[in-house]
Amino acid sequence: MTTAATAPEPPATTRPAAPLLEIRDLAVSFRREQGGFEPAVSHVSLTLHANQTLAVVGESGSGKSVTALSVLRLLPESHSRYDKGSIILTPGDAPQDVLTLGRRALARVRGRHAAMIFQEPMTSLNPVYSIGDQIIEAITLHTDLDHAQARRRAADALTEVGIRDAASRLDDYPHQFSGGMRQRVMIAMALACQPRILLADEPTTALDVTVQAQILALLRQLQRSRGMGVLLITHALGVVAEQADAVCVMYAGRVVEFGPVRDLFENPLHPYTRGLLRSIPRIRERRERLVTVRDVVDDPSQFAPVGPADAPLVPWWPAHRPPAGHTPVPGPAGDSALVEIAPRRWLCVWRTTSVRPRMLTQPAVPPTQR
Amino acid sequence: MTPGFLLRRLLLAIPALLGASLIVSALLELSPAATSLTPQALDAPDAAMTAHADPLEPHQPFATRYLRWMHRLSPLRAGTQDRLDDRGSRIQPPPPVPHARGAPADYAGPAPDSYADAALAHARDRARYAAALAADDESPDLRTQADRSRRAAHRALLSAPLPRAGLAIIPDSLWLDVPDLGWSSLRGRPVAPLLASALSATLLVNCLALFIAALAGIPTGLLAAVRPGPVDALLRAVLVGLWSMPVVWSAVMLQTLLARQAGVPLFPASGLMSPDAPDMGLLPGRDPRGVPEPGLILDIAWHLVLPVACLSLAALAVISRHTRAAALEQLAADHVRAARARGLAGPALLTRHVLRPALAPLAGLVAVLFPALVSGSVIIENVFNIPGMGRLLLDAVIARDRDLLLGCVMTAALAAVAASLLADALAACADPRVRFTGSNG
Amino acid sequence: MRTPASRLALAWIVLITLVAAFAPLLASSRPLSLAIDAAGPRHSPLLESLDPLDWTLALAAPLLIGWCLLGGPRRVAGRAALASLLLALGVGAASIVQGLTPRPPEVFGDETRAAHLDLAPRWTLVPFSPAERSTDAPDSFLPPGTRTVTATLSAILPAAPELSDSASLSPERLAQLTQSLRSLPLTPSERDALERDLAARITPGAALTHSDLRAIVEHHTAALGRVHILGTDARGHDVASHLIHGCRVAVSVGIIAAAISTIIGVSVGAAAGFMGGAADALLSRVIDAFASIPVLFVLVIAAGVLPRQPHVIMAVIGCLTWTGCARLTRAAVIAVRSSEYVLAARAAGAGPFARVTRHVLPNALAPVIIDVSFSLAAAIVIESGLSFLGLTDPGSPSWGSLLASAVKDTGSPVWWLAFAPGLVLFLTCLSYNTLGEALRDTLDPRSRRHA
Repeated sequence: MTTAATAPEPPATTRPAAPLLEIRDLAVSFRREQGGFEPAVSHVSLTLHANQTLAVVGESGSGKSVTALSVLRLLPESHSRYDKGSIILTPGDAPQDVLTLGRRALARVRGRHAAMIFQEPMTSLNPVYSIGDQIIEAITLHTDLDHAQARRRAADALTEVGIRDAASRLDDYPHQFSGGMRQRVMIAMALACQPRILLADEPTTALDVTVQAQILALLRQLQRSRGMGVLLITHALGVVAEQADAVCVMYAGRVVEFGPVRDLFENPLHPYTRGLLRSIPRIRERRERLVTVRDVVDDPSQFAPVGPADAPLVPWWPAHRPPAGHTPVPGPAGDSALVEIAPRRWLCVWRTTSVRPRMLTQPAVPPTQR
Repeated sequence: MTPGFLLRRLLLAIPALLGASLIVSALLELSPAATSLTPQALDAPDAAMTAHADPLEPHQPFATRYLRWMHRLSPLRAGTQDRLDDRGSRIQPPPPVPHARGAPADYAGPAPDSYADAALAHARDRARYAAALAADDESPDLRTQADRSRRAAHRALLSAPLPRAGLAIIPDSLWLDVPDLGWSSLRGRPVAPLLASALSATLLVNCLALFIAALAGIPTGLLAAVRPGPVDALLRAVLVGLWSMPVVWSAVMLQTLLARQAGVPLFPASGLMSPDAPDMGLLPGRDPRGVPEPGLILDIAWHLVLPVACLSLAALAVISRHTRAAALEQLAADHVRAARARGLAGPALLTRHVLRPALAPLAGLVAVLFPALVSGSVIIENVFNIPGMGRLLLDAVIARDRDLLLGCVMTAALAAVAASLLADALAACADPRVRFTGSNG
Repeated sequence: MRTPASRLALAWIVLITLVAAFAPLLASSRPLSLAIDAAGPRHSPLLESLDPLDWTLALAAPLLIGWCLLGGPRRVAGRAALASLLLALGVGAASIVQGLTPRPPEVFGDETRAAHLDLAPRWTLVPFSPAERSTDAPDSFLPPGTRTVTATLSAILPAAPELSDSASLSPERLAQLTQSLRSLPLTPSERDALERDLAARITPGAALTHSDLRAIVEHHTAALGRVHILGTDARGHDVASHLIHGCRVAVSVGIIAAAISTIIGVSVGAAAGFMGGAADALLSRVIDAFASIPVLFVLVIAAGVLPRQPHVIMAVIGCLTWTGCARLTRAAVIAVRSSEYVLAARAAGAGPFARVTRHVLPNALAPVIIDVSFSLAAAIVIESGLSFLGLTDPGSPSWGSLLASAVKDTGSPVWWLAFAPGLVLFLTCLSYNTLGEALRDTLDPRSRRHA
């Protein structure tokens, strides 16, 4: 295997815990048809460490895909604008801000340091080239390998994702593969250059359930064997529980809660997270009707103040008005703040005077051995 | 593109060709030239001739004439085989005697009604010639043995029966032959060589036009797709303008402005090449007197600038619009985003991941554009006096030359079929999905 | 429909249609009012020359415009479209009737014209009829802006060839020249003034140059005669008049040929799409057969061998260009046929004809409507091509035959003769295509397909 020879980094466990990816206070807006810009995400902060799977959860339209696409600046340039914030990638020793990179540097980052796989394996491969062509193209773009070496490496990558008879299947075209196989090909292509970060945008949504399980198992195995950081975008809480180390819950373009997966599942702080968790039907329970997220967030009693009694904080919710005595401080920072309400627990609250600067820390959960 | 698929496509083309020939034959049948006395019909100098454009079969019913034409066209023939004359060419029925305007309407001309009659006439001529030869033999001029033996050889040749045309399957009942497109009464020659030379001129002009249109249209379409906003809007406006530009107008304007004395005569006004071009070398050089000359290739290119420019304008617009649409579709496609996520950017992304997949739908355009271009070249060839299918067609229409007309239409229809086959082949080259399933749905 | 481009396009089409409707009133050499004898009754040759259809169109056009404008701003576009459609159909009928019935000959003979017509006031925009040939220069074209009298002068003045720059006229030549000038359509007092002026300058021994003489004559005849705004073609026909009367053929060919091809195309396509199975296979083969024929080739043959009448050309163009429409309809009908609401209609007991006409076609027509706009432009271009090749009725004015006269008849072709008719043809095609684009953007079947 050539993979060991060209692995650029020592195993992540021996290094001090420098995060691979830090998103700080990111805001992105989209161009409206009638002119002007519409904010898509704002105040998004999160941290991804090596050897860690960070799940970003939320309903469709919550901004989780926009966040992931921003990491590689893949949003269509003519229709989007990065308003503020920074996206710091630290693949080696030198941190670099993706939002300020030039085109060439950006092209070096994409696929080399951070790779991405997408929801639709049926359409994410170019139909007119064989998969070998496409993997080799990605490899030769980022390494100095010649064509024959790149082809060997492509075959290795295919073998690694569990495609049998890889060397001959390199010459097959995408339409000759099934959906699950195509997602494997996408993963092989993404990982062919040994990126430290993998952005997986709902990688299993379009697949049937049995194939989903295989792909997730493959991702977990690859993440562990390579010590990668995986940003897993999903709306399936079951996948999160099984796969993730840390969770970032998003709603309406903001991070509403961030924390380690076990803590967050056992003790959700934000009513929206609670609603998400309670809306999962349980096999032992008998209910007249299922609880929906709406039932929870529409209930004002759920939004009780949290935090210390002298400086109470109320969870932020866009559909509500801030409760009496919790009027947000006007200012450029907006009406919400992601505060560290408990050790390693971050919660989105109304930005009142009770929000102390020391609470405004960068949300990050250090990697733990599961 | 399996052989079976190819065969199926060719078989499907047969009814189309039959339909085309039937429509044209019926139109010729409807021709009122024999009865119409409109002033316009009388204005045409050859109006009276047109009544008997087909002097061989003057009073046959339509169905009979159509079936006979089909029989001649078909490679598989029933009946007596045609005979070949001494030079190896088929014994054709004699061309119609041109007769003056105002000839009696029932004048049928010399009407041997079959090839057998023509062959008999030919044989009579040979007999007369042989008799003359024999008389010559007796003359005292032929003294040497060589002279005598040559005469004897000639006589032997003359007395042999005329060779038969084609390949007999059942002798004189069923035989194979090359399709016979008939005889042009207008030019007094067989139709097939006329069509061949005209087709080559037309194909030259149209293929060049299509090539240039693609060369210019694909980049502009791509540019419009990747530069939304003012560039796209401007290109779109210009292209709608080009698309709406009638070929008649652009041809006439270009010719009057750039090829005639009244304007700036940069280019030749007519023809496919200079009159002395056949004597030139291929490349620029000097003629035997040392005068520099452009050479055949440059000369033809110089003559073709204006016609090809006119023809390619509209095609350019169509190609560019389709390229833009296809490229926009590809730009929005998941696989382009995936390629960008792998670090591809710039020209490599555009050519390999946007343009290349967009080529498959563009290939289908060839099937649509080529017949349209051939239609447009009817006008162009008449403005610029190029000896192609369009000019041949117009001459044949004015002279009501039935065989030549049918030949023109069949050739053009065949060209359309060929263009659609070519489009399928190109689509198969561009898209592996078509290549592997063997059909394009 | 809301972009400035599509509004301009609509305005141009309405303009062309109105010009077509009013063509005999806009371009005619007939005076509005004329008395041949001073004591005799007054005629109106212009109004007398109109046939009933011309009258109908001329009266209907203002009424329709009023109806559009009174409808309020919101309805103007829709009403304008409907009104121009009605007008165009009327123009088509007029042009067919004109093609079928030969026009009565001009009322006035050449002598009468010389005596009365040239002086009579004309209230037409272009004071020439398309069939009228310039008496000044019948066999060569005149450049734009030529006055008919100036041309007459050019014919008269070289009759004094001995008149070099310093020569004087002999009395015989002077008498000859005065005789020629007498034939000019001047009032007696004007003629007296001219002759006085000439007599003052032409004294024995006085030097009179050719240009002096010409200047004097032109000074006195400057207000006379009619102007060929766009010049004449090689046979002496006024280009502007041809252009205006050519609108009739263009507008009616577009509408009628597109209507015929749409009717055939929609029926065949709907039948093929709705019936499916063997009928579909058969009809598809018929469509393929027609589509594989090079349209212009067959059109050239048809136009060449059939009677050269406008209605025949319209019918032939319509009958040969329907395949695109049939394919579009068939595809759309197949897409709609299997939808639930058609099934529901069937379940409710609707017969096949009712299902097609009431449920399938209204939902499948969007691509056809867009296609109609493009096929209008195509039909106009085809007609101009055929008349360019000389395959249409040479008696009826058409833009294509004007273009042909720019290259064919004249010894040295001139660009300005081709410019105006070509520009009008181009703008008309551009307008129809722009409208088609605007319709496509509005109805957008592609986004529907992808949705």
